[in-house]
Amino acid sequence: MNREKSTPDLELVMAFQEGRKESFDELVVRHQDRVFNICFRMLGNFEDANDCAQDTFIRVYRSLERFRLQSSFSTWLYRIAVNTCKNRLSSSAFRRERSVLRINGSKDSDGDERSMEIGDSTHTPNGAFERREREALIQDAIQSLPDKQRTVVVLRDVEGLSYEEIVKITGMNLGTVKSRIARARERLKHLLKGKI
Amino acid sequence: MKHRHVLRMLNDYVDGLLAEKRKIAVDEHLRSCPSCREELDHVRTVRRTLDQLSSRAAPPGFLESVHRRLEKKQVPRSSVRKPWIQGRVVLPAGAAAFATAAIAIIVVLNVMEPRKEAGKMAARDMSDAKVEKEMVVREGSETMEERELVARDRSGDKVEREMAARSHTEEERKAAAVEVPEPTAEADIASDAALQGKQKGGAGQEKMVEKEMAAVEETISFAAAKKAEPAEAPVISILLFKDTLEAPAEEASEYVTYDVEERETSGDGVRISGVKSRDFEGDTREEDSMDMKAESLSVQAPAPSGTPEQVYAVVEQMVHDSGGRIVAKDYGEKSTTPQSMVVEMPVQTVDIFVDELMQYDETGGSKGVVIPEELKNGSFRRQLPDGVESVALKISFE
Repeated sequence: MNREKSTPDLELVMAFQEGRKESFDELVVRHQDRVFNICFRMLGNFEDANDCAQDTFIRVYRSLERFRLQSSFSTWLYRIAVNTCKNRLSSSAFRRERSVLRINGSKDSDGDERSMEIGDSTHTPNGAFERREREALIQDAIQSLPDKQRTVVVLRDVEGLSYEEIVKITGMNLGTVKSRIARARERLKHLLKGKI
Repeated sequence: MKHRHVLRMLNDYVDGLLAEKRKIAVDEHLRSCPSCREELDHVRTVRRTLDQLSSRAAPPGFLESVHRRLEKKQVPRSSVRKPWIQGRVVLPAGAAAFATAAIAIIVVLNVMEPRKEAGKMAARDMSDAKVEKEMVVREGSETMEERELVARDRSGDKVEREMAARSHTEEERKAAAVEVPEPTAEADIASDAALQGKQKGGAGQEKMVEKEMAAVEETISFAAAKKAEPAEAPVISILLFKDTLEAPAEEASEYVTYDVEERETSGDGVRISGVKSRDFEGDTREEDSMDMKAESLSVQAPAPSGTPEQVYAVVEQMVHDSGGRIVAKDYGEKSTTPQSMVVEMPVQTVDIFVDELMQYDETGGSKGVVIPEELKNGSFRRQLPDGVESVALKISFE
């Protein structure tokens, strides 16, 4: 079942399509961290990120049979992840929760996740604690971006994907991607001014 | 190079997207402009800050959790469908006639759900028939109208069609529900042209139905001739119906479960759902009109390649795999495959369907899939009233 890390994704997809369903596991293991990170940066909390990352792979499993091998698996996977997160962001439950968090102020804006981090840090050096606090501030700033700007800036500046990949993932044209990234960075500059 | 031009290019500069000539020009400007240098520093700082964020790893047991959820999801199709077939539905009223057809067919499905035997008999009858046409037009009260149109099932060169257009009282409708066997999903077909006749009363209705039947005869003879012709893969366009559908209270309450509040405030009718449909290309709600234009144009994705028949088969399979149900098909006048169809799909699986279609956007070779941005990014959910379980999509093959 375990394959060499070097086995290209598309070979695993082909194996899945030929009936070797265990190839899916390898694809999950290979991509789960990146998908989870995208979801976390998009949604800003552990629970939703975990849920959406799982949803992403469930959708992949259901669609993999008909995946066309001409395209990049990872691009397709990230597209599903981004769409899943967008759906979550636009769901009424999520928006309700987010508005409550905003009213309650930034202390709670990271919810359980923040308190979990602080708890963890009791046994870590101060530097690590400060770094986590700093990251939480940055995540808050990312979280306050409009959804559309957040999507592209996460893909570009957090995940380091190319513009070409972002165009494929989001379905937007290059000009739109560029202008959103520019606006997102501009906004982040103001949000983070004096904090980092 | 002007200061404001350079400011606009700084992001491209940082991302290494500028052509060499422009990069040199920006470099020159930066040497003499402290404010642009400061701005450049800001852009770089933001970029570096985000880049240095630590990566969050998936929690331990992630794969096992996915497996557990996959196992949970693997329930028989019938149990998946039940809640939304019996739940509230959003039906198209943009084409009011189409909407009526859709609800009429849902009516039949709901009522006939327990009558599996009748459904099987109907399927058998339809597959045995050669070319069968039946038209029933009944007149009833002004307020209670129901139309059922059950038409084509194609097998080889055979085209079968059964169409019943009814307008009758509550009692007649109930009686009809018993008489009419459960149609298979594939046999649920409604023609836009015939359905428009509904708005025009009895005589007009009959006339429209006759016209439709003439078109069917043409289609039958055309089918054989058309078969051998190579055809270009069609463009697939998807429209999300979002209009409000008003239906007589008694009729709607009989078949559609909806919120108690809505039932109480129904007055002459029951609001099933919705907001106004609109031209996606004309939408300017967003802050940036350029962005909006790009989004409203949706996906520029090549469709599944192949003949119209093959493409249709692929899309139909996707619809079924996504838990969707074809409630109406329109063959137009001269086509062996539907030119459009109305699909009812659970809200939660619309994304799967769209994702699946979107995977074709790198295959090349055929014309395209046009998916409204709202479907592509799932934002249509925001406009749905609470409790809506399924939506109606019109899928056109052009």
